[in-house]
Amino acid sequence: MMRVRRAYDGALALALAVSVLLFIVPQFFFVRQSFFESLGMGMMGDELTLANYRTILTDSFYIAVFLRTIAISAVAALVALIIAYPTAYWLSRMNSPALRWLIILLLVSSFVSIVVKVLGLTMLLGSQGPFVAFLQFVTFGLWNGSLLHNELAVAIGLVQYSLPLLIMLLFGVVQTIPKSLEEAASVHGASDWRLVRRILLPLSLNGIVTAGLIAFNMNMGAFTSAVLLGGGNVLTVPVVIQQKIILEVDYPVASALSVLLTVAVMAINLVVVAVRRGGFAGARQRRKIA
Amino acid sequence: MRNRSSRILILTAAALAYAFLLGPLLIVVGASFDGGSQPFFRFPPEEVSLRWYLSIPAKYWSALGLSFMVAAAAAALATLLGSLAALGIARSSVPGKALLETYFRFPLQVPFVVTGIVFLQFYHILADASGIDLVGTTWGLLVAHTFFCIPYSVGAVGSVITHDLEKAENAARIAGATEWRVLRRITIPALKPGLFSGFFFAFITSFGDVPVSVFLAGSGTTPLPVEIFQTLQFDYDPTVLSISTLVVLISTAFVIAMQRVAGLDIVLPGSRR
Amino acid sequence: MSSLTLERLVKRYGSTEVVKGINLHIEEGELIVFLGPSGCGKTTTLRMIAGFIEPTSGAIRIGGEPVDHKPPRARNLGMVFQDYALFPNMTVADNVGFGLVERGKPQEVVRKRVEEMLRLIHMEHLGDRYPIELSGGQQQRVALARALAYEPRVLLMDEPLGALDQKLREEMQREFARIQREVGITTIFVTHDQQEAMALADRIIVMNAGVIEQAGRPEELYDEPATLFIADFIGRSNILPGRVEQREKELVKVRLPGGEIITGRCRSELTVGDTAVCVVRPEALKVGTPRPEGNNAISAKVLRRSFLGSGIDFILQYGDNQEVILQTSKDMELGIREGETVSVLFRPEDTFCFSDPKAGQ
Repeated sequence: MMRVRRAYDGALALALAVSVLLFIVPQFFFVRQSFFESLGMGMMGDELTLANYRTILTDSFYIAVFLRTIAISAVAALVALIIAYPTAYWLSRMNSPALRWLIILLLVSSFVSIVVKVLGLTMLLGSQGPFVAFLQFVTFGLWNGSLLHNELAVAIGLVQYSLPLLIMLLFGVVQTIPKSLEEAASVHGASDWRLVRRILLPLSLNGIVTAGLIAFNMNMGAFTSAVLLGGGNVLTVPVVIQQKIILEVDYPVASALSVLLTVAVMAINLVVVAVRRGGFAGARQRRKIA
Repeated sequence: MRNRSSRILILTAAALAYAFLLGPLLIVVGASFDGGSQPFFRFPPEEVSLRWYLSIPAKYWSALGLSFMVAAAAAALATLLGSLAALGIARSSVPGKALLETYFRFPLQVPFVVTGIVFLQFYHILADASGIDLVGTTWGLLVAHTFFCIPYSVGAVGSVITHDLEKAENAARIAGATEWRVLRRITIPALKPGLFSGFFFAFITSFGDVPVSVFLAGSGTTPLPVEIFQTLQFDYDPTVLSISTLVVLISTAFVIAMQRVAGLDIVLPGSRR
Repeated sequence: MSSLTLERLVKRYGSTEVVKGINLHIEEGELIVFLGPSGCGKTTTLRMIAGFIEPTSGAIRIGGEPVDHKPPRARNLGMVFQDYALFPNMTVADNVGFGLVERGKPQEVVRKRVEEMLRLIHMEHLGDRYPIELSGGQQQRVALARALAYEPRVLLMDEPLGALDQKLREEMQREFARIQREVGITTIFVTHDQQEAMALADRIIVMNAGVIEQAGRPEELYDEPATLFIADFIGRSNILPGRVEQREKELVKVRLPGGEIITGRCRSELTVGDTAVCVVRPEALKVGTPRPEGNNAISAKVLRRSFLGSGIDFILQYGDNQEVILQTSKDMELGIREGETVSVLFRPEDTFCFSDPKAGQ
């Protein structure tokens, strides 16, 4: 038994050793990079400083980039949640063998590389596409805007990105709610809307928040949609990070931006979780008094 | 939901979801067969032709091959390391399992674009320090891809290490099997669904990756998604439609293969009807 | 409360008929038990009454009024589910008051009624608990209170006691019977446990393969089973196979494999020469000397004795390897010893003969 334990300890040690090389070392250098002053043109200063962070946090350009990224990510996550929940519910309560194929379709959609989906979206939203045609039709040819290369297009791309995973996550959430609860509510007089409000949503809420945060996190770091669908017009944090590296070879600022992106994501996650927990504690307090 | 209008609402949302998810893919596939100079998925199709398939440039084929190789290798490596980690976490005497699990999930917490530049920069430093330049090389891609593939394997294998497995192993031990035999005949077969699904998810993530590879690719060493990305950004060519359709086909084949081997329950517990 | 009528109720899934034409009328206040093995259609029928399943054809009337096209919430029914289905995100009080709130009753009315119900189930001080903090039996009672709170017309219970252990189960049966009597509500109780059915029911509806095999008071089903299925399913029975030698109206004479001839009652089609099975309950068997007074008698060897607490079982063997169980009360075991060969006696009135379902195989 001890030999077995020791073998597993060894396995873990090996995995840890390799992972340190892969996980920790590169990140360490990277974060360290952000503390060197950027002198432009790919050159860096020699001393550790917070200059990069100061620059970013005080420059209205960067602040706007962060706010824009957060706003688009949040809206896209919300829209995806709204579409995903009923879909997940439908799949979860489905009894027919068609379910298998529907899930396969879902998986195919999530497996295909985002570039291919963006290609398709570009064609769909482009000037040859049905949506532009429709808009021109209903405005009698007056509308001459574009559905691409703006925040709307990026948001649509982000929904494409996170929707399959959200549906699958919420599927699991609805699975935890037995059908008999819905039947009990119905028999005892609840309309469908009341059933959703009093039973389904409260019991799914934790899962919905978790899934929403996952979608939000994915959106915050999304690169391909932002670059291609934004067409250079929509500057989100990942886009700016890429530009800093490719165009300006500015590693220090790029790494500072990355660190701040990660921090922003973590902070927002923590705030949401704290608010949720606060909600619970408050409710329990109220009940104790009553 | 009993009510007719609720049912309609739900079906509408689901139809919208699936149309939204599959629409872009169908457009790409459909347009790839349109022989006109500005291919689009028109119905009825203008000019059905295979011209975009027959004139796929060599760079796409070599990119496809490279993507395959890197994905397979990275997923394999990640599966090996990930299963060692998962087994280690579940079975070793080290405390703090939750912490270790979170640690191994770390690569997926980092946005992919950040991972890309982290490794780009790391390779520069490595090149300066040791003369080994990994930027724009297959090995460079492989290492970075393995990085973000590991969590899939750790998660998937971790989820199939159950109490029942340990009971089965102990039963074998009592019956006289050596540790090696226990591993070979009980443990590994039981881990198979986890190994496979971890491999599949890792493969498909690596195969379809853009943000990491776009920083680490070099001329001649460009994975397919990055080629497509660059085509879309700079020099659009309709052959991108046909190669993208191939990607859709490959992804579909993969999903069906995974479903055959590991079943859908691993992906979506409770989906078996 | 109301009466309930089922008329030619049918449910078909694809080509399989799960419920094959049920006709039933239940009076106000009756406690009816749907009894049968799994797959017999009892739960499907219940769910059609509730409105979760749409009947393929037939009619359902509550209090004379057809409810076929009404959704469950409009049928004014109460239901207790097998897994209790208490809402985990609400307190006991909120669960119990659920139906009243959904019907728009004012807060004060709800509060008072909830208190009443909690008193009825003896859980007055547990209103603030959450379902997860309750034991199985307590959850069960809350589910019942919730179903009764808004005074529905009919109460439906879908194998509610299945998850409880034997002792708790019997206790809950008594509790439930008490409450049902007190409230007087028309109740349909589904179970596969025949003891439970007999303990609770005013009338038992025995279902088998989608049809009603027999409906009647527990005594009727026990003393006068209409089919072999009923005789075997309800209570314990000894089954003696044989061949029909003679038939005169309701009496048949059956020759057992060992040569003995026994007389029994038959209300179905049995003619001379048919293979038949005769059913006798263990407590109807006696041991003694055969007298020529028309009692059935077979010679059997005592194999084993089994002490039941409330009585004693003797397992005897007759003919070629056929076993019967004889049940007697504690003080009647004189004269019966293992290994002995005795005469087992039973009356024709206690012997029911049916055609052998395995005939022709």
